[in-house]
Amino acid sequence: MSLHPPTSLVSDRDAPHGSARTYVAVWLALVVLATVTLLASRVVGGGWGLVIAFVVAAAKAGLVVAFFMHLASGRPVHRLIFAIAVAFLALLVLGVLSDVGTRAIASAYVDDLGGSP
Amino acid sequence: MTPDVSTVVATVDTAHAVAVDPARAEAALALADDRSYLRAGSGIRSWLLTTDHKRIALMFFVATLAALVLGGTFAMLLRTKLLTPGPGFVEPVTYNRLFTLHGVVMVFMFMIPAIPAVFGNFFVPMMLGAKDLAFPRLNLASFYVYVFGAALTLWGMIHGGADTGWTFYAPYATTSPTDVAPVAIGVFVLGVSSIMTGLNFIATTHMLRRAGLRWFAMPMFVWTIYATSIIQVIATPVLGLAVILVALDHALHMGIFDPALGGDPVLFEHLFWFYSHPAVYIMILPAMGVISEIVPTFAKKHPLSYKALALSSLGIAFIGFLTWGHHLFVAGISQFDAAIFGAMSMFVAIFSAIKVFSWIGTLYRGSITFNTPMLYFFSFIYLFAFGGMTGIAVATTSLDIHWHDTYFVIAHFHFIMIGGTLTAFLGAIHYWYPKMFGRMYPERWGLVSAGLVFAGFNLTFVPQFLLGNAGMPRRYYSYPARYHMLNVMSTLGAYLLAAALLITLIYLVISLRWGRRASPNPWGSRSFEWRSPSPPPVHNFLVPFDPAHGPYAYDEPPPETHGGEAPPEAT
Amino acid sequence: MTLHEQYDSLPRQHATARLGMWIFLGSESLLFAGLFALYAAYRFTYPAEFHAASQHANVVLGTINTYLLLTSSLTVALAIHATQRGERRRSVVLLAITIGLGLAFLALKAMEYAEHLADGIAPGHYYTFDAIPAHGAVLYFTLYYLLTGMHALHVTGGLCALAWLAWRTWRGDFSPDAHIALELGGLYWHLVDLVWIFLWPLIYLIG
Repeated sequence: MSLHPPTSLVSDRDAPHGSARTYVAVWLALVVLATVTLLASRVVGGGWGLVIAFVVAAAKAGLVVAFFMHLASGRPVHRLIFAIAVAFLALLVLGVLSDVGTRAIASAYVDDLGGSP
Repeated sequence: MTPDVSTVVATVDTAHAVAVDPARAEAALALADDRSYLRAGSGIRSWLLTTDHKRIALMFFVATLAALVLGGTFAMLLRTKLLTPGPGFVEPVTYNRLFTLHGVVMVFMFMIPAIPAVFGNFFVPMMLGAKDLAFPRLNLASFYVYVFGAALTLWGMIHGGADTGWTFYAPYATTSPTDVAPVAIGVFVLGVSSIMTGLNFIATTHMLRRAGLRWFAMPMFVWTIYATSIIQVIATPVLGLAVILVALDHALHMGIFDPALGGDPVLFEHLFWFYSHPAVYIMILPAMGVISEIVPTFAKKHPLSYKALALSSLGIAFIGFLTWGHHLFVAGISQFDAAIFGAMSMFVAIFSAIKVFSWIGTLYRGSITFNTPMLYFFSFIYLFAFGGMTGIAVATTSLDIHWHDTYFVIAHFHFIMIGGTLTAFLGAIHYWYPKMFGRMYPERWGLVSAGLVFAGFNLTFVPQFLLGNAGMPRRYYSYPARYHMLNVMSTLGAYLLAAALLITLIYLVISLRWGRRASPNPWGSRSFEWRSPSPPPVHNFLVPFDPAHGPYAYDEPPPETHGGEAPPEAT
Repeated sequence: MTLHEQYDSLPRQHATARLGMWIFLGSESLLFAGLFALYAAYRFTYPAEFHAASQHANVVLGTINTYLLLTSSLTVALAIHATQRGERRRSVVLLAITIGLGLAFLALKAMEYAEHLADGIAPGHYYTFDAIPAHGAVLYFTLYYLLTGMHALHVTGGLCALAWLAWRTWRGDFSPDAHIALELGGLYWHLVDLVWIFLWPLIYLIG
């Protein structure tokens, strides 16, 4: 029996591998970025601190995913799964924030004096 | 000299039936049995340790039917109490436990798993031309995880059971004096089983299609199972977290939703409904897939638009994730958020409408057979459309303020769950019965009980729309006298519905042993699962089918079913 | 490696296993998503309380743990690399180092928990830390325990899997062409690292 798509198309980009040198280089980048996050948090606080921390974390995550998990060199369907997971994670967080974050300005309940809880 | 069995059987199948020696036909059909998955390997261990997707499907069949009977029993007890407005034969706390367990058992032990774990398991590999799912042992494990989750839930029930409603809302669920944790953890475990099932189907669809079978050539049922599986793997973990938090909060006072500590109970609702709204699409999408198989077969016509049906499945799955806030309209979310979710909730109707019009359009100029599966289709189309429209109604924020937590909502979702999913489930049982068991069900009994199910259902739930609109709240033990008449009607309808389902169960069980033997393709369907003996052999097909003759090619003659002895070496 | 009957080739069987693992990882990340959503909601609602509470997070231990996990991702990747080159002993050693780093992570975590509990910083209604009033702040700590606890459970599961894989590697089960189980274990371990990459700034580095 044979399956669809032909095995050659399935296995071409499979059995992922990277070189040891790539792995070590990625690790160094991760260590540097972690240190950057730490130092940045000491310097920049509040809202911007959160943004910087998040951006750097995303960069680190991207490196792990792309090189250690071979997402960059693997099959496209893996990238699709990753993108979908990220998208729905964001959807849940943003959906909750779209409620909590707007209650002060657009609450459903308005009392007789025009105030909201 | 042995008769040329495949010719005999093929002749029996085709629309151009030629007079056939009945004895030879019977002998040919009986031969198929020896290789069937039902006979291969005997003894309890060959079932309990099987990795054959068809046997696992049957085990799920028994389990989910048991859940349906259990959940239905709870419903009957509820409806019996509601015959009278005042105190009844159960205590109020017991009543609360009954509706909680009715919901938990029906949603998590029947509605979510039934069509995927029974018919998906049985037929997705066959529809793809595969010998099994991608991960057969994971499949077996998913069954045992289901059983374990069910056992936990039932153990919690025996210990009194939760009285929180199947929705476990904080802060009541975290402070209720009843046994919430076992039921909540049972739901978690059932969720794990659901994720395992979904993962298996996604991998199978991607990787185990037979040569030449492209995505847009698969039977439609596979598309809906695929879309369902995506929802299962993405949404269920969030439910898992939500119920674990409730269990932890109840047992260990974590207080994550406790206002006294600054917590917000509405956040629980966000997490719970982020799963539970897409969950209703887990319940309806496979049902739509069943309909998409039944209609072309009994209209003898290809679907109006294959791509529309296939892509609308993905559309429903996607949009379904964007609408959960409509369950929170009166919970205290911001008006801004309510507006967004209200608007998004309207969009899902578009994809459902595409499907409804596709099915109707498939009937147009078809050659329609009027039998039990088709009667269930007609029932489905009416009840789903009607129920769906009331969904649009409650999704309208301003209207929902009046209808929320009333019987209007209950009627709406029972129209979809019973009128949609259960109806399609019954249709699937009858449609695929010959293939799964090699027997026919009795057609007249099928038609009569389908009619009785429809009648009983309407009598039960149409009064509930009226009750809800008149203001009767849901989950209430007693009600004002003016609602009495409608409640009596609804209860009578419930008894009729229960009787009809019981009749169905009885004749289906009897037919397992005494039903007329079925040929490989009694319906003349072009879909792939019919190109095999009834019941199928362990490896599904005696001869690999040719996907070039598509599953809806009704302009071609019926394909070879190879239902008898395998022809000489044809790899 | 046995070829299962529904597959036509070992590469396809392995590719399917890999796909299955990616689906599983996608699913698991949604498990954490709910906790991230709770964190986002409560941090938005109680910015001052979260800020005050996070002062009591042990940044040193948290940061060491970050470096430990990042390094463990490297060592597991190198372990698979060694197996791909047929270097069995090196692979086992690298897996052992990975497990060691994971155990060190858990040990530091345990120390942190002990430290907090000694101060009366416990989740929910067990919170007795008078220096910071409960309302709002206890939510930070409860989320801290939930997030790191859920993560630690996954670390523990990963360590069990890695230990089993290390034993199989030592036994010679894997070859350069057939080591899918090892690959899958590595993928899972990287997820554990990924979650921590986001947990660390959210818990320890609030300005």
